[in-house]
Amino acid sequence: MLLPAGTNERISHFYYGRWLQMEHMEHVHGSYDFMLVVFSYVVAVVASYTVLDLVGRISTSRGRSRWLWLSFGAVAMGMGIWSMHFVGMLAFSLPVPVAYDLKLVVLSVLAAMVGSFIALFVVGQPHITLRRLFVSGVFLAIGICTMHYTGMAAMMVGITYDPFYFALSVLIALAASFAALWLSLYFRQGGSGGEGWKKAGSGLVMGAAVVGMHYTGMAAAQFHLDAQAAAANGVVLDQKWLAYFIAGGTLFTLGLSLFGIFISNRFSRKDSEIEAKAHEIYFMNQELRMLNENLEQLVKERTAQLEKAHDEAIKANMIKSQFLANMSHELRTPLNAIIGYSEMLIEEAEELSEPMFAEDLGKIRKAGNHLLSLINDILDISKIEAGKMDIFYETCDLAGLTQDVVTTVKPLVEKGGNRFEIRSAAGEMTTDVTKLRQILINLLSNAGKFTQGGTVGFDVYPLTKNHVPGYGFRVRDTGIGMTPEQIEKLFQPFSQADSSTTRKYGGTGLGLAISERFCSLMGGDIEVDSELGSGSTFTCWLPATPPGHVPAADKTADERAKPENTHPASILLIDDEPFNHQLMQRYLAKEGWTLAFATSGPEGLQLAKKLRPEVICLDILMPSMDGWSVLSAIKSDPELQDTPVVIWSMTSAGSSVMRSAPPNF
Amino acid sequence: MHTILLVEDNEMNRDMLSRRLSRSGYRVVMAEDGRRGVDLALEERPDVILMDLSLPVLDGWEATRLLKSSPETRHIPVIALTAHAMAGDQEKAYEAGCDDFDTKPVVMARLLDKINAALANRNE
Repeated sequence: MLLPAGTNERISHFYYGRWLQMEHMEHVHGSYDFMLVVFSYVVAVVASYTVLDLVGRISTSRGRSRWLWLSFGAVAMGMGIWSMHFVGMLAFSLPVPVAYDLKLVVLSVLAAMVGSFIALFVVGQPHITLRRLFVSGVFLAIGICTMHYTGMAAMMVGITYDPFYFALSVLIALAASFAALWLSLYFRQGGSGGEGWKKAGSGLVMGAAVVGMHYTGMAAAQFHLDAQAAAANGVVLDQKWLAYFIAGGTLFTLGLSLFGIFISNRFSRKDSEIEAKAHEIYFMNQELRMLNENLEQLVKERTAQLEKAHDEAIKANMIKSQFLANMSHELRTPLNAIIGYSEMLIEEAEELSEPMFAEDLGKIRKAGNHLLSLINDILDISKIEAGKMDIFYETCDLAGLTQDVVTTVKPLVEKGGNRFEIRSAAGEMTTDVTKLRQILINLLSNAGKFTQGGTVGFDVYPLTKNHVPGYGFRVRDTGIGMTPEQIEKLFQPFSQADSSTTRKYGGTGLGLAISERFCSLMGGDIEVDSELGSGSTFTCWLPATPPGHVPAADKTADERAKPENTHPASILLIDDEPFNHQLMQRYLAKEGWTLAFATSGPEGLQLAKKLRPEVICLDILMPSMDGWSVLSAIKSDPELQDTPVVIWSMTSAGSSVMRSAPPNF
Repeated sequence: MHTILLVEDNEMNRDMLSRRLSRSGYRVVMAEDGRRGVDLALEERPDVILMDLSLPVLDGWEATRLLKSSPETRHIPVIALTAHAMAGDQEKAYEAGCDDFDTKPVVMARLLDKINAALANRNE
């Protein structure tokens, strides 16, 4: 195991030790330089400390830096051990100058380094088992011993060894190696701040062990001056100064390495701090992301819930409206008979001169009509709410309309002893006349109902609102008036001012709600101004031409209603008659409209989808697919259903009445 | 004397309306479902047809479509009568080929106006 000295002669010396005492050899005793012995101990301590530090360093590094640290550690440790040894050797002075075999000196240094390398490699593994610790300890001990005895062999002096001390030195080397590695492991596991003095203490112990091994090994040796010494061709060194030089250099090197470790530890602590912070940030990010996802999920769920609730509410309202419509229908059928038979009987009673019968039958008819109007109101409001209220636009003469309405409500208004004042402007407008009439009759009969011995006024006058020309229909009375709270609920369905109003004045409380909705369906509105006790004023405003409606039937109405700044817009004309295309082109191109033409229903539908015109003009009488079919196709297409459609209806000859489906058709 | 074909499934309404129309000077023939209405139209060749829309066997829209597709009855004006006044009813009536539309309960004066207008149109 031990690398023996170079010659057979030396081996024999080795075997027989000092007890053989060969005759031709001079037995010599050396002496130690005390300072150098101390120095060697210091070197051993520093080297031990360095190794203890290094092992932790190696185990935490990875990849290339691990190998660098490993090599660096092996060199530092090998150098430290070796220099301790060499300084120890130099501290030992023989009475004669001793020459050294340089090759063996270098070999001893390498042995120390290789041993250190292997030991560090094994102990620097991430997981240390007892076996590994043992193996690495053995390697370190082998390295140290090899180094020591190779170094001894480098002395060109005859040496014999005492087997007992030799064995002891090997044991000490082993024990020291185990101790060093175990301690390093111990510091690696628990080692952090505050353990510095422990490490230093361990360094001291380790140093002592190494030094102990060395001097035990020295004690095992006996030196003989033989012929070889004299014939030495080795290098004779000035021992003392060389020793100081080597020890100083080694200490300096070790100091540097310790400093390096210290710096790198500082950096790695910074690194690990940064890493820890990065980790923390990562986790916080993760948490935030989870929270965010959670939130998104929550929002999604809530939105879905709301959408569902919304859909359900709409559906429920539709069902309600459908129910009301069906109910109204079922109620109207028997009512139809009641009113019809009573009317018929009135006529017969009058013919038979039975005034008593006629009067009573009149009461039945009146009650029937009242019931009918209530049912109609319910039907209207449910149609509006179900979005199924049709609007039929036509051009009407305001004076005629006013006259018509006044004739209807006059008896109602004048019944309470009221004065009826009417002022109407002349003119024409395009609107749903039936609905406008219903609104006006409703407002006027309300005014009459809530006014006793006062005045009811009805004014029709041009009124422009938001730059849209139109007409105002004002109904004012000097009746009971309303409180602001009552006005607030005025247009809500089924809410009369209060329940006593219902008892006293009758009605469903739907009239105003219907009027207001009709108005907005036709692009207008109703305003209320009222004071409790002094009367109310309702002003209904409607545009002269409904929004999205192109008046083209009547040339004068066309020109009157067309706003000055009409934007060029696209109109799709669906008409099988080419002559009509030319006619429309001539009329509308002048006004700045761009026109597209289709000669059949299917072609028109195709073009409508492609061009998305602002308005579609539709002819009714067409071969293959008539205008009504085209209209229902347009209205059932979600892409096109909002496009206003103007229909040329030639059903009543003479006057060309325009019918248009409003956007909410 | 003009002949009016009244297609109406409700017995009371049919009786009441037919009597009132008779009083107004028309000859009234009656059918209680769409199929019978189409048959009677071919038999009697009325001057005007009053067509209820919700009818058994064959509904008013279908009956009107049949009448309007036949060269023998195409020219007879059809006035749709319905208690439904929901959106689309009127459109559907015109789509089926009805010439005019009135809602029930009938207002006698209004209905007579419409009948007269239809007769006048037909005569032109």
